[in-house]
Amino acid sequence: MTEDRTSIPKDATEELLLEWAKEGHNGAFEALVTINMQDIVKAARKFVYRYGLPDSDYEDVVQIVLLNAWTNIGSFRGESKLSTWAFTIARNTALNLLDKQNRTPGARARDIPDHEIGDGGFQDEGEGKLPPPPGLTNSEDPQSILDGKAEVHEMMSYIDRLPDELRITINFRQRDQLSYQEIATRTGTNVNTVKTRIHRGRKYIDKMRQESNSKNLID
Amino acid sequence: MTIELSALMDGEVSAEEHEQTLKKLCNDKSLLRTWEQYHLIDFAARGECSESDLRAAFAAKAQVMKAISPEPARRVKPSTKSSAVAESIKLKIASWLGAMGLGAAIAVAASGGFIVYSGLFDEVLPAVQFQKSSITVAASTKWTSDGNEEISNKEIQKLNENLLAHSQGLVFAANLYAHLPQLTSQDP
Repeated sequence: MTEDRTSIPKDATEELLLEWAKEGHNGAFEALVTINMQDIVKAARKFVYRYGLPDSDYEDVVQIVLLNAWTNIGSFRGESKLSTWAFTIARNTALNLLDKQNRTPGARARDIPDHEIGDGGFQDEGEGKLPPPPGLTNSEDPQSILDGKAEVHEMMSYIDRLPDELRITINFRQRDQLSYQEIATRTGTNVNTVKTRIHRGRKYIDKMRQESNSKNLID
Repeated sequence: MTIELSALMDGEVSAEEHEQTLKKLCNDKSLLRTWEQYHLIDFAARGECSESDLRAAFAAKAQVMKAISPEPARRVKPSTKSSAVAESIKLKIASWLGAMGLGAAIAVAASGGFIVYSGLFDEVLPAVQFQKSSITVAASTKWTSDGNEEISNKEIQKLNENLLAHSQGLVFAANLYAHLPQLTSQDP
């Protein structure tokens, strides 16, 4: 038996958080940033790499992007996606850093006009893209790719260690992007059970990650 | 409550729960941390960017949030809540930037100097001057009849000249001052 629930699109959540953030609510801004953090990270990483900035500038770019975003959130009109807006801020921030440090762009970005750099992976922007460096399948630097693969592998190992009912439910959600209703139908349960299992799965994974991090610190 | 957060992440809350859950999220720091952890897990599982990058970014976010979180005003003449919050934010940002050293302040330090003036709201704001990683907040102590600070026309002219001269500098600082009146309401 399944339940009839009204699902709320993720965009609606973002829209409401944006509205509150514009009114100056810090918690709403923080929640909004969290939702978009993956896109902010990707943009910051890409520009640090593309403009030949040192790796240590990455965190600075993120900080300034977030501060810029908070400062200018009132002027965001919602005509583009928030992630696209953050991307533009990240690009300008990286260029400002480059300018302020009187550096010349590294070989990767040299000879490539700004208008040709485009949105670098943000598909909705539709501008030109910087070709990946030779030997790379995307624009991230090799170490990031290796780090990312190792961490995905680690995350998958956490999911594999979950009890069957949690693992299956989490995989339906994260890997297959099924709705709670669809998962309930496939697993012969109801939406509330799915909701509980996904939550428990996330708590388990979080606990395993924390234990692993603590162990690494001790070692 | 965290079960509702998990469902909210997936867009699987009812219309009734939606706004209520969001309000709780925005007003509870421990829920915001849980929200962050669940997203981190989700992002890492997708593998589109490295978890170490995500962790660094969340650490950067924590610093920014700390810097912009309102606290009791240290020097407030106007008694309105909005002015008090705006003042505390200005001072907090200035002190935060000053403490960053070679961090995000490098853009400031390299500029050699940066002064901000905003006349958008018919008020003269304290000038924030950044010089080689050190920051001073230069504010006059004279107040207008409206309760705003007042500085001389000569100073205003100097501020604007510097602002123009350094217009390529930290735009966020200028915008911060321009938007401060909006940064007052803390309850959605």
